[in-house]
Amino acid sequence: MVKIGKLKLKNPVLVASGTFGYGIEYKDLVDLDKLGAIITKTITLEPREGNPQPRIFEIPYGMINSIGLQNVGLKKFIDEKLPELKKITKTPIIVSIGGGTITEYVRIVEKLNYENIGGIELNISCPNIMGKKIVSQSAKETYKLINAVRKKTNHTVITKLSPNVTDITEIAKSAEDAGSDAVSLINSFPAMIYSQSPIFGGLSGPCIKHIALRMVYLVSQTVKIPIIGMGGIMNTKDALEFFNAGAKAVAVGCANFVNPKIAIKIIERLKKK
Amino acid sequence: MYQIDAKIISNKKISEKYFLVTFLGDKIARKSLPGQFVMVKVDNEKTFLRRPFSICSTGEKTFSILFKVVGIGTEILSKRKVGGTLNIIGPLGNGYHFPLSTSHFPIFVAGGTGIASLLFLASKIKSPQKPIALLGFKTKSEILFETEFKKLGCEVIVSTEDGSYGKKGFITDIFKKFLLSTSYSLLPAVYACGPKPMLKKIAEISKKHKLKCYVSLEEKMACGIGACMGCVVRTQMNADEFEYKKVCKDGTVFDAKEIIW
Repeated sequence: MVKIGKLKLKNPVLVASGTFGYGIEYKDLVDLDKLGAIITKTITLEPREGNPQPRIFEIPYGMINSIGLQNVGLKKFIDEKLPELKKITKTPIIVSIGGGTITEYVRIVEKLNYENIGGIELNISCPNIMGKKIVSQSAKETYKLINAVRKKTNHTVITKLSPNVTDITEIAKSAEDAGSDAVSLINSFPAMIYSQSPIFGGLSGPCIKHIALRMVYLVSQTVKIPIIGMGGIMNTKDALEFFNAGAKAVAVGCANFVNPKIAIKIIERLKKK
Repeated sequence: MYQIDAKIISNKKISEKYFLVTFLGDKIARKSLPGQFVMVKVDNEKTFLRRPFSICSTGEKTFSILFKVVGIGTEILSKRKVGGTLNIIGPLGNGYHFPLSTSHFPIFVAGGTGIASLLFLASKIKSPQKPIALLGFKTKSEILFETEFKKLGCEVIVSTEDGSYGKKGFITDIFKKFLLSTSYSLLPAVYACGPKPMLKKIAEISKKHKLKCYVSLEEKMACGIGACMGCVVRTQMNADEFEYKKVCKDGTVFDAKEIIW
């Protein structure tokens, strides 16, 4: 069993935000009850329509996405998606949330306080919101945001970090100091495709694994709070590398698209080790 | 929706650049509806994501997909050997809206690989009169399924862009001329599948003639099951608002009226 803040997980393998929808989409293919936890698609206070097409590019050993946080908004999530997901699984649900201001994060957290969920993941590292600074690129802003959220909730708070920083350990330390129960890293890298015009997006997949590993290791040497490691985990060997680098748990990201059953397979293989 | 390792029981080149692969997979075969698709993992080395393909036909325990070699994924798939297996998720999407009321008969309008789902539809749809199949290709060497549509009782009109076979021109122009030159007692219902610019024109022409029109859209996909939100299309929500719908989950078939082209 693994403990992340107050949250007890039956196993240390989660599915990463943005790669598993609201969980419901996978119900026919994946035994959701076997997952350590489900981190849902990032929810914002109001529904978001997301970015225009094109949104998906395959690249060697990975992909670039530019979804732009399309989501149903907090109200519909609480009224429809969350109850539906809870009806089909007992696995803890970690709700990923995003916002443009600290006030928005706080308002979402206040509403989620009434919900029986496993925890909250603060997405302060999405590379796909044009015109907005990535909060987790500043240690000071990261502290301010987490501190404001921490004061308002007893839910387990996990902070998701961007790899696109000078020193990720500084940001992780800031998250810990502000009261985050854990950090999850890494989010996708800001990247670009040039197809007639420049298209910005987030780079993910096995091509970022070794950068993620290094960051997980460095952060594990700096903070005491648990780390959820992610970035290009495709199989059990990858997962083990993250554990060895200092992660307490791991999250499977775009490998879910490649093989929806991969997280379960990793869980079963880890049990045998 | 199933995820299976499906054995390839045939992989044939059926015209210039077009291949038809048939898989053994009774669960998918039994559940598939015309307009639905499968996500195929073509290999584990040179491609990362799965590839979506419309289901072209089903047997008792088999299903087939049609594809044109256009990139690395389809290139690899074209070389996959009989007896090998590929991991497949399906059937996915919502399929075509049918059966028709007795006051309608279908016109199928196909461009390129779009022909696959329409052939499947033609094999399942019941029509009060001879259905019409308008099949568009670039050139003579690419033509396929002309005989198959005829065998299913359709009146078939083939066009090639270069005029090397059948009528010369884009299938959209053939469709337009057909509507103007034909008188019919029952109302046509249009089912179209092909590249987006073609579907846009078909939708416009259908609208002008006040015809029901269903389009099956293509889009790049990562998951194919509605989770990643990569394959969206702009649709009309109400008079002044739009909504991105998922081609994989809300489609691939849409009422053409919904789409903001």
